[in-house]
Amino acid sequence: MNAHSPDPHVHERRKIFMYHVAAGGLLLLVLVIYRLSTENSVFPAFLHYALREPVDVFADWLPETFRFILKPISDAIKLSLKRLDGFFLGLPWPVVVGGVFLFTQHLGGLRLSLLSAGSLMFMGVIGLWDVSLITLTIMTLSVAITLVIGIPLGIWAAHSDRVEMILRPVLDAMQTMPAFVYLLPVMLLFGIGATSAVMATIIYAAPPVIRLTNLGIRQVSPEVVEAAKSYGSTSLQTLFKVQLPLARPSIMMGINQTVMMALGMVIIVALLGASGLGKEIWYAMRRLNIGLALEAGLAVVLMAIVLDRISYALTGREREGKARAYEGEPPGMLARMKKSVARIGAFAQGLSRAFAAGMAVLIGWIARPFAKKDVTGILRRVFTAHAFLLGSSALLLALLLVSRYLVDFSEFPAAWIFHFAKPVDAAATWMNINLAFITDPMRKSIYVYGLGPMRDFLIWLPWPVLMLGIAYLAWRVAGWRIALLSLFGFAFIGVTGMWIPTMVTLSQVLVALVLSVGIAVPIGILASRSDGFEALIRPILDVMQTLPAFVYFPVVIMLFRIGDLSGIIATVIYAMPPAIRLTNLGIRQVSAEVIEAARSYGSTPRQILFKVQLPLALPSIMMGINQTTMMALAMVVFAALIGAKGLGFEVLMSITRFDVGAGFEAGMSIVFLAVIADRITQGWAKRRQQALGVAASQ
Amino acid sequence: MAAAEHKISCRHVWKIFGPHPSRVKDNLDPRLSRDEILERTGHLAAVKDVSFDVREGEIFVVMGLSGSGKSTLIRCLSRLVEPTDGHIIINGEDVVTMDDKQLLELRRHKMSMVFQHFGLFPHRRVIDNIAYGLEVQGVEKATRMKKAAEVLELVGLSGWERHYPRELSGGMQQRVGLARALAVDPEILLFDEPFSALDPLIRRDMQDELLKLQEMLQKTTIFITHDFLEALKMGDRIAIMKDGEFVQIGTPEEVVLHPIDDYVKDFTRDVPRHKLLTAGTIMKECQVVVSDTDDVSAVLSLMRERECATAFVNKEAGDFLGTVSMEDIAQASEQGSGQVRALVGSSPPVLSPHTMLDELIPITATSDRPLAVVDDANRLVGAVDRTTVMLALAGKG
Repeated sequence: MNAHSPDPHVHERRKIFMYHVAAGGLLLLVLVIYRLSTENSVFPAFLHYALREPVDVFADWLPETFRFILKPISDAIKLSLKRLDGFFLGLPWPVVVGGVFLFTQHLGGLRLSLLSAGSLMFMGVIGLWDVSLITLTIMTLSVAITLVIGIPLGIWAAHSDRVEMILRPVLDAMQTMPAFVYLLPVMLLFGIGATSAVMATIIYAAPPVIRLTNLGIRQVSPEVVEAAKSYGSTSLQTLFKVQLPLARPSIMMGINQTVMMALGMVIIVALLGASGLGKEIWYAMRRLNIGLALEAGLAVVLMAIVLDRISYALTGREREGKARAYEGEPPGMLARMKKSVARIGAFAQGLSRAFAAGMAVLIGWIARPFAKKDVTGILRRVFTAHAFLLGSSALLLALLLVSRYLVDFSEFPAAWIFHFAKPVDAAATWMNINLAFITDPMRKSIYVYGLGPMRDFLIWLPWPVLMLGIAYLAWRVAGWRIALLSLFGFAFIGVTGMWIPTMVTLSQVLVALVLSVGIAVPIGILASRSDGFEALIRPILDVMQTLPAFVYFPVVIMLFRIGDLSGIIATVIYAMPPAIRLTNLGIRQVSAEVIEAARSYGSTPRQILFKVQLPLALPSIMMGINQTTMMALAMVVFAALIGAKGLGFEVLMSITRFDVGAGFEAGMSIVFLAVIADRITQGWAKRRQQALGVAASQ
Repeated sequence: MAAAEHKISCRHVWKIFGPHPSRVKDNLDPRLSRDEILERTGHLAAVKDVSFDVREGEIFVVMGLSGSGKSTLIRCLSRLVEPTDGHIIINGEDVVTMDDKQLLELRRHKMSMVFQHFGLFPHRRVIDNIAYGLEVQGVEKATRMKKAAEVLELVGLSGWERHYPRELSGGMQQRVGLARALAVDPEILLFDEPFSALDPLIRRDMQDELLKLQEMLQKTTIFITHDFLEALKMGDRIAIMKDGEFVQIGTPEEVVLHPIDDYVKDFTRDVPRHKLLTAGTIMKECQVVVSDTDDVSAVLSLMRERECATAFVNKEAGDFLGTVSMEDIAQASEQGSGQVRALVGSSPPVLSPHTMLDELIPITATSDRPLAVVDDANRLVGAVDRTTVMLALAGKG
């Protein structure tokens, strides 16, 4: 605005600079006075208040009082889980594998079905058949309940601005919260066990499907909705014939995200005492049984990839229609294989068609004495239309009968089970000894030059200086409300006696943040400058972003052992992808015209990068940093699982001890950190965005 | 104003947007302008006290610039937008007081709408789009498909049944929109700027085609547009809308020739008048009309008195005979008395009231005298001379 009149602009800058100087001076003054008057820089003990005591009283009162609601819910979930487990575990394994194969084949073709059935077989081979199925049932039930609640809620929000207005901040808050925040309240209400696991998963996984159902319906062109109304559609007709079909891709995307988030809860629900893959990983890690943890972790990875592909196939089916992309003629051997696969497919299709026709004739013949019309013709039409479904069900039924009466398939054959835990453990030991020349210096240097000094500095820094400094920062970039919020947040942390754990956590998060941004931004820049490199890392990033955080743990422990550092390394790996992606995207989105202009004035590629592309990509990079920060904070409790100290450790201890009050204090401290960090980094990104008049890429 | 001959009658229709529309309406001084209402109450009067009637089989065009309230008005008719006040009488029934069920019936059977951006359902094939109205009525599948195929042929899109809307060009998409509207066989068609999203050439074709269809179907039609020329072309009658109010209602000729104020006049400036105006619309009254048996001296004195150089002569039976100039009459009266009949030449040039202005230009250019305009029964109805034509072309007629 002031571009054409430099005077006020300069004046403004000078004013801001004076602010900074004044604030810096004031903070320095506080620091000096504080240092001179006292040795101890931690929040003073006389200000402590044990918030945990009233919380504990509340925690005793609440479940007792609402027992009449909680008990039936809990019972219903327990019963459904028991039935589902009984059903799936009771099925002979070939039926499960066959069913998954046929279903995914129908959904997304041979590649998907081979991947899905193969992954399932792999889980059996490593001896985790039952455990994997238990995880799948908990997830299936949680996701089913989430969808039954979430989709209607999304529809309601789309039809009522008021509902959306109420729902939006709630969903926003829910998506900023790290997953474990829901553990305590859920544990409080439903106790330890599978019910809590399901409830926590539902709460954590619900936001995307609600949000995207609402969004999908709202994005339907108003003229199209008006057209439907103008032809006399009732609101239900409009919903089912127009709005829902058009919102389908968006809803499907919401379901995909919900499924992935539910999978991310697998290890967390293990903390609540649910069995399944998460529990295997957790127990294995506690016993430092790295091989076992890796096996279970691999099962989770496969499950994530398969579920992502399946729900993606559900979304994409409509878009692609029948015309799937032509992939070109594969050479020699592959072509022969493809041909024979196609031949088998055609044969199976013919067989199921014939079977359908046969069934139709048979039933028609049986029903002839009772029916008025020609049943055979109708049945034939219906059956051949659904020949695949009919053939598959017949096949599965046959398998079931065979297993019941001829061969016993109920257990995954023990002879096929192959554990690679032992060789992995051996490899881990070998690596620990022989790769120490790389990992030890890494560990030491991060600890000596990063984590250690940072932690010491934060603990040394007098509490008023830290509080006021952060409040000043918040005020400058995000306004006085966020400044007040951060003052309040840190006061809460101090009063509840969580100051030192918070400083420890803060130092871990900051070091992890510096490392991941330091690695991610150069990679992102590289990706933006080379299409080949981008094509190389894109699938890796895709997979990394679908994986739950904890699957990196076994590998990280293998290399860096249990401790603070492993937590940081795992956090860096987990939090990097969004920063890489957004850096790459931000640079690539800089308009071609601007770059051409820069080139026309004779800029070198290096000058273009530093003078044009990076400054314009900055808001986008900042959004990446925001996401990285949030992911690092979400990792705090996970990192505690592999030995990190701080707030995460406090939360973890309180959960294992069922100490609601202490968990509340530590958990809320993390929430405050998360919210403050989110608002400050986002405020920062948004200000840059407005200043440049560009949009940040999401 | 007998209700029976009017298909649609709107009386004092209001639509006010804001938190408390009816309270604002009740306490409103109706003379306030829209801006004043907005300033005083914070409410937007999108439609402000509009009344009009539409006859059976007529195309009634509402023309206005964006923000004039025309789209809101057309949506009030089927209560896609709920009117704040007033009455909308269709077939003698007030739409405003209808309950949900009656309203659904009205929308399903009585009226259908064509939208500016077509409003097609992108997830349905062309044929299913067209059959939608019948589908929500609960018509059986075979019947509605048959009907849909019929109207598809009517709009010239046979063979496109199984395509999706996005595979069609804009003009074709709007044909589908039209077919969808016709499929339910409505009594009333509502067009909300149906052609403004189309290229000019396609737009012209669609206009011509719609007029042709209308000749065949004779549906009562309300047509919204922001294009004044389109309004003139399509409308039997036109209403000009500004700031939520009707400024003028009339036939295209009335509006062009007698714009009620500068606002309307502004639109008429770009009108190619020679394509719109006829001898009948621009002609002047004849000042001196005499009978063929009248005496020349009497005629002369009449002409002198009225300062008129030409006299129009009718036969005694009333049909037109011809004209006489002042010079001839003066010469004749010097030679003595006699009837004017002798002075009128045989088969004089005459004009029909339907003669377009662009045909009048060469005729009047070569004639010094005013030309008589004569109706089909050979009665004199008026006169056109070079000046009249030039004034009409200049927009000052």
